[in-house]
Amino acid sequence: MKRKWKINPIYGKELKVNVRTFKFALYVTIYNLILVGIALFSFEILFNVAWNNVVKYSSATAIYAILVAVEIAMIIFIVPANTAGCIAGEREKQTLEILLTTVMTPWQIILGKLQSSISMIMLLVLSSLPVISIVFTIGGIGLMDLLQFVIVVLVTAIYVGSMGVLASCLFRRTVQSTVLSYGFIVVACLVTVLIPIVAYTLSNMYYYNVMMAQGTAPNVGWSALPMLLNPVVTVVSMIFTQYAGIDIIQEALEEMGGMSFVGEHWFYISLAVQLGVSALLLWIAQKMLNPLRKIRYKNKKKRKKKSK
Amino acid sequence: MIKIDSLCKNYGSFVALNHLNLSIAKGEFFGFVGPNGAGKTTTMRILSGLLRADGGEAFVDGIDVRKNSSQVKSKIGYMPDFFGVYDNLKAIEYMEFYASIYGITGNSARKLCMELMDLVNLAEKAEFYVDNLSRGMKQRLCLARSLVHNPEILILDEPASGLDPRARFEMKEVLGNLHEMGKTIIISSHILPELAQMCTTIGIIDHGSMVMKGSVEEIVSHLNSSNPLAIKVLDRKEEAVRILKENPLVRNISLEEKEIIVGFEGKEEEEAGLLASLVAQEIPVAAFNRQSGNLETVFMKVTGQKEVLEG
Ligand SMILES: Nc1ncnc2c1ncn2[C@@H]1O[C@H](COP(=O)(O)OP(=O)(O)OP(=O)(O)O)[C@@H](O)[C@H]1O
Ligand SMILES: [Mg+2]
Repeated sequence: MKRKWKINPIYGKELKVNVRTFKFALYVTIYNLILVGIALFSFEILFNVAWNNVVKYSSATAIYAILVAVEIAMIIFIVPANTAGCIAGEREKQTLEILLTTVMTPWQIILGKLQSSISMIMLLVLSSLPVISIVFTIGGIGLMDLLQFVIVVLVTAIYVGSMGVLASCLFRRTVQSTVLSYGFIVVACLVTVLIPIVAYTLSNMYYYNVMMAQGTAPNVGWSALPMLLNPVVTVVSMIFTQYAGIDIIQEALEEMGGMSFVGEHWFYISLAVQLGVSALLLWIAQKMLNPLRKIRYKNKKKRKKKSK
Repeated sequence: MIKIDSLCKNYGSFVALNHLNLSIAKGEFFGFVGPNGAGKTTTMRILSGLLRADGGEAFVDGIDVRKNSSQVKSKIGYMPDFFGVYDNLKAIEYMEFYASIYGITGNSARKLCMELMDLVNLAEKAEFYVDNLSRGMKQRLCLARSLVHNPEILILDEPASGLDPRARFEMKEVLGNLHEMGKTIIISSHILPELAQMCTTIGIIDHGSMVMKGSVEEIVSHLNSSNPLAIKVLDRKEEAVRILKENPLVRNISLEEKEIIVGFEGKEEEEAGLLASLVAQEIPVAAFNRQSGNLETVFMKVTGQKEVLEG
C-alpha cells in the first residue's frame, strides 16, 4: 500500500480552529507591534545624535540581540502555558477518551499536540523575521546568524513544549500541569545555572582557605554540564558569539578548569542535548497517556482522594 | 465476535470485575444490564482499549484486546457514557476531524460525514457549532462519529441516557437500522423495556460477574419458576394460609387485599398438588397462577439477592 505523507489530524484540526479565530490575527499584530516598538526605541537610543556623540553602526547588532532575547523569553513563557493544557484540557473536557479509542496512537496524539502549539509560536516568530531583518539594513549580522537564530527558536520551542506536554499528561487539571511545566522551566533555566556557581564558589573557597592558594584549584568544569540543559545559556552564548565574537561559555569553562571540548562546541552540543531530552520527555508522556500501560499512576491518586 | 474469558479488574482493593465470562456472536444485539456499579462501563472500557484488565482475557474477532489494541480499535466504534465535544468546531467539522484520523479527508470525508449525520437525523445541523447542539443531538452526533471508520462492532455505553422519549425512540430506530446492516452491537442501558424490545440477547451483570445471558424470552421464562404464586380465594383466607403453611415448598406468604402471594419453589406438578390440597379442604379458589415476569422483575430479582443468582 502506498502511504502518502499525511498531516497529523490533531494538528490539522487545531490549525483550522486557531487560524479561524480572531485571536490569532490579534496575537500576530500585537506581537509584531511590540517588536517594532522595541526596535524603534533601540534605534532611537543608539543612533540619535542628540543622545550619543558617536554613532556606532555596530550597535545595530545590539538591537538584534535585544529582539532575540525578547523572542526567546516569549517562547519560554508562552509555550508551557500553551502546551500544559493540551492533554489535561482534553481530559477536563472529556474528549480524551474518545481520542484514545480511535486508531491514533498516544505518540501521534502527543506529537500532534506539540506540533500545534509550536507551530503557532513559529508562525509568530516567522512573522517577526522582517522586523528582525531591519538590522540587515545596517549590517552587523549575517544570514548564517539568522539561520542559527531560527534553529535555536525551533529547538527551544520543542524543548519547552515537551516539558509542557509531559506536565499535561501527569495531571488531570490544567492548572496543576501549568504549575509543573513552569517548575520544569525554573529547573532548566535557573537551577542549572546555580549548580556551577555554587561549585565554583566552593572550589575557590577551598583553594584560598584550605590550599592557601598553592597549586591549582580543583577542577569544577563538570558542574557546568547541567547548563547544557539550559536554553537561555544556549541563546546567550549564541548572541555573544554572533554579536561580540566572544564565546563566554568557553571562557567560563576554562576559568573553572576544563571541559574545553564541550566549551568549544557548546552551541551545538547543547542543542543536541536539549533535543535528546525533549525526545525523552515526549517518550515518557506517551507512556503516561497509554491507557494500557502497566503503572496506573492516575488511579492511585484517585483512590487516595476517595479514601480521604 | 467477542469473547471475554474470566476477566478481572480491581480498583485498589475494590473488585470491579470478578472473573467475568461473556461471549457475543456476530450480528448479535446485546443488551448489557446491571445495577449501578455492576461493572458494565468497566467491561466496555476494557473492550475498547481504554482500561487494562488485571486478569483474564478478552478477544474481539479473535484478537486479544491487550496485545493488539490498535487492531481492535479499528473494529470498534465506542461511545462513552460521558463525553465532551470540542468547542469552536461545527458539527460537520467535528465529524471530519474523526474521519481524518482514519485517513479519510477531502470530498470523500465530507460525503461520508453527511451520510452519517443523515443517518442519525442531524443533517440539518451540520453547520451548527457542536457546543450549541442539545444534549440529545450531541449524543446522536457522537454515535455518528463512532461510525466513521465503519466498525463491525458498536459499543455504546448508555447512549439513550438523558434523551427525551422522542429522541430515545429515534435512537432506537437508528440502532435497529445499524443492526440490520449487520453490525454487532453492545449496548448498556437502564431502560429495560426498551432493551427488551431492541436486543436479541440480554446479559445481566452484578458485582462484576455475569449472572445470566440469553434471549429476553429465555431469561424471563427461566426465572418464572421462581416467581410467586398469586392465589385468589373468595373466603376462608386464614384457613387457606394455614394449609399453605403446611406445604414444605412454600417459602413465604404475604397477604394482599384480594390475593395471597406465595413464594413457592416447586415445579408445575407440585403447583397442582398445592392447588389440590386447597381444593380438598373446600377452599373457594377463584384464581391460581404464577405471576409472569418481565425483564424488570427479573432484573430486580436477580440483582437483589445474591443467593438466587448462584442457585
Ligand atoms: N477509576 C475508578 N477508580 C475506582 N473505582 C472505580 C473506577 N471506575 C469504576 N470504579 C468502580 O468500579 C465499579 C464498577 O463501575 P462501572 O462504572 O463499571 O459500573 P457500571 O455498571 O457502569 O455502573 P452504572 O450503571 O452506574 O454506569 C463501581 O463500584 C465503581 O465505583
Ligand atoms: Mg456505566
